[in-house]
Amino acid sequence: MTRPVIEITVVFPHLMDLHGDSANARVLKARAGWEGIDVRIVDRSDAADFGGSPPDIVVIGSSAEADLANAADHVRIFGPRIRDWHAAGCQILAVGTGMDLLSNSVELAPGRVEPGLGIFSGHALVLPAWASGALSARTGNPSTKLGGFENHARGYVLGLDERPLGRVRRGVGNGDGHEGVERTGAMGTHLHGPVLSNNPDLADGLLTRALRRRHGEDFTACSAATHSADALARHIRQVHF
Amino acid sequence: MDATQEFLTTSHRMGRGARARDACALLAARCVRWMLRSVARRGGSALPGLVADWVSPRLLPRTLASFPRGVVVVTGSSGKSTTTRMLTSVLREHGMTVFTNPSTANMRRGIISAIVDRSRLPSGFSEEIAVLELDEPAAARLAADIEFRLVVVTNVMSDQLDRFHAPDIVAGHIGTACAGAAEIVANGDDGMVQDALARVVGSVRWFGAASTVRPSTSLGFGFARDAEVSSWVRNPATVVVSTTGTTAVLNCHGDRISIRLPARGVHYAADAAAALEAARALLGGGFSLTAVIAAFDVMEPVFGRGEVVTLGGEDVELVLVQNIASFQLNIDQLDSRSEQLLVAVGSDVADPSWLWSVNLSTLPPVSVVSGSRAHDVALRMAYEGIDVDEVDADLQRAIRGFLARPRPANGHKTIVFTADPMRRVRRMLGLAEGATR
Repeated sequence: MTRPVIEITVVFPHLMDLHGDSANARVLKARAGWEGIDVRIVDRSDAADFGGSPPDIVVIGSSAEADLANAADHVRIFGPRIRDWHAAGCQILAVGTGMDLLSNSVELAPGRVEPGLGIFSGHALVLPAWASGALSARTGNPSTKLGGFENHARGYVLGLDERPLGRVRRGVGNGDGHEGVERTGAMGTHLHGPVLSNNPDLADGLLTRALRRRHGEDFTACSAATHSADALARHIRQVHF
Repeated sequence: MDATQEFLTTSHRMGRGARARDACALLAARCVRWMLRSVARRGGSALPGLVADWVSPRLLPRTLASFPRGVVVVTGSSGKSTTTRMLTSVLREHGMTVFTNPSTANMRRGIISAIVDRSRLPSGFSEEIAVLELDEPAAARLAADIEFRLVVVTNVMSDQLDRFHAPDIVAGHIGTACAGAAEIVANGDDGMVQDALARVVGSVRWFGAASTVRPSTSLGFGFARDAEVSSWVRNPATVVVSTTGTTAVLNCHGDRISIRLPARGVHYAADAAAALEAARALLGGGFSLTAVIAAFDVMEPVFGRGEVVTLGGEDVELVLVQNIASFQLNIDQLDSRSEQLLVAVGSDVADPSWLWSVNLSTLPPVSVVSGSRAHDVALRMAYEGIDVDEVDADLQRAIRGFLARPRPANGHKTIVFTADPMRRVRRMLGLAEGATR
């Protein structure tokens, strides 16, 4: 029996990987690999890359503020393709300004609100002060909390059909007591860099939904490698967040 | 403190104002330093510097303005310490007397502490020139108080984002630091540095590295943005032509020169190019390539960079890493002799996310990870598929255990650490700064 294969696409890694956000694709690949599932990671940056078959998961990271206009142009040009993939069932993880640009509208500079890609239905608005430091949030599951770091200029006002990933315990997050956003098939967060390694529940959620759609089977994380990595992540969340 | 304040006010009224206030500041700071050392048995505290700055906030600019050949500032994301040391050595080899700050004291209070330690009352300094390593915001702030003779800009990296938010903010600090400088020596391969210097008044001189010697990893040198066209292409400059081991060949305004680097690695060669270009600017006609070669020949291995110490009769290599680029470059430099590895990342790394931007695929198996960020390092390695024997956040215990391990059959043990564990390990093992084999 051949191992099931899924494809993860990292979009614009040359522009939108400020804190090593694209590493989240490698985290997904490793976790899938530990359970005997092959993952192919494909970077897509220009028109030539955006042809081809749709991926199962898209990872879009955060740009530096100085590169935001350029990143916004990229999303404007190639975004419709991402929207098609999403409509066809592709899962999306968006971090930082990646989440901002995928929103319904995004305040690029104070007072300058422009339409976003609309994969999320809320609005990414400039915060009164830059948010930087540790960020932790409680999720619906009382035994888990999200933990990591934030470094962003914009907050997020949830759309009516959206849920946050959690309630902020420490840090700023969306700026209104919530952190992140979840909407059918798409997840956005201000937790940058290795958010999926620190919070493996989020990773397994993405893999489960991707596998179910492509192969009709569930993702169960039960290997020894998974357990030891998740024990480290649990320790990090407990001690540092 | 009331008496001190009263005395200060009095001396101010008496017209001896500034000088007396500075003397008081130095005295007060030295008292605090003496108390810390003899009573609390603590050295290296920032407190004496803070006291001096509190008593006389103008002490720093006034002292720095007294160097007859001015103040040279070395700033940028990485390579500051090495470049400062190289430039200082080269200038001294040319017979110049140089005041410089210890590499770990590169913010305002660190400079003041160095002044508290080294200036002589009442005349200040006997050295002709100050060469200061300054972090980017400190350089920008100090530029408001004094005019720099020369600023050396090493590079801009996506570094310490928890502090600076974004590399363009770092570039902004650099632009401010250079705005009023008489001359600037800058990295011509760095796109953000080019942009930051587009509107400065002083003349800009360049250094860089030929494309053939740039690090082959995807990060390259690790600049936030590479230059589209290197500035040294159309300007006379100092450029790294090739490196082999610890030997580097540079092209300095048309002259080829071969020097011995204080550690392996093309980034040290780039630092050397910066130091040469700066020395050339400062010395003018007195600049001698023979003196440069002599200075590099006797240069001590760089503090915590490929430094080999003898502990319990066995060689241990110490490697300091401070950001993505230096982590990458240093682990790429680890050779097959690094058979057993301890990696310690401490609380000085506020946000360890950047560990995920480092390509660890060449890293050998790791014996121990330690420091308060041990678990973050271990998790990063777990996802890279790198075997780690032991995770122990307790640095003392981890180091002791590591050193007690059987000696490797070939090669030697290597400790890779960030600045905070480095300081603690050195203190624990009784190693002085720059202690070498």
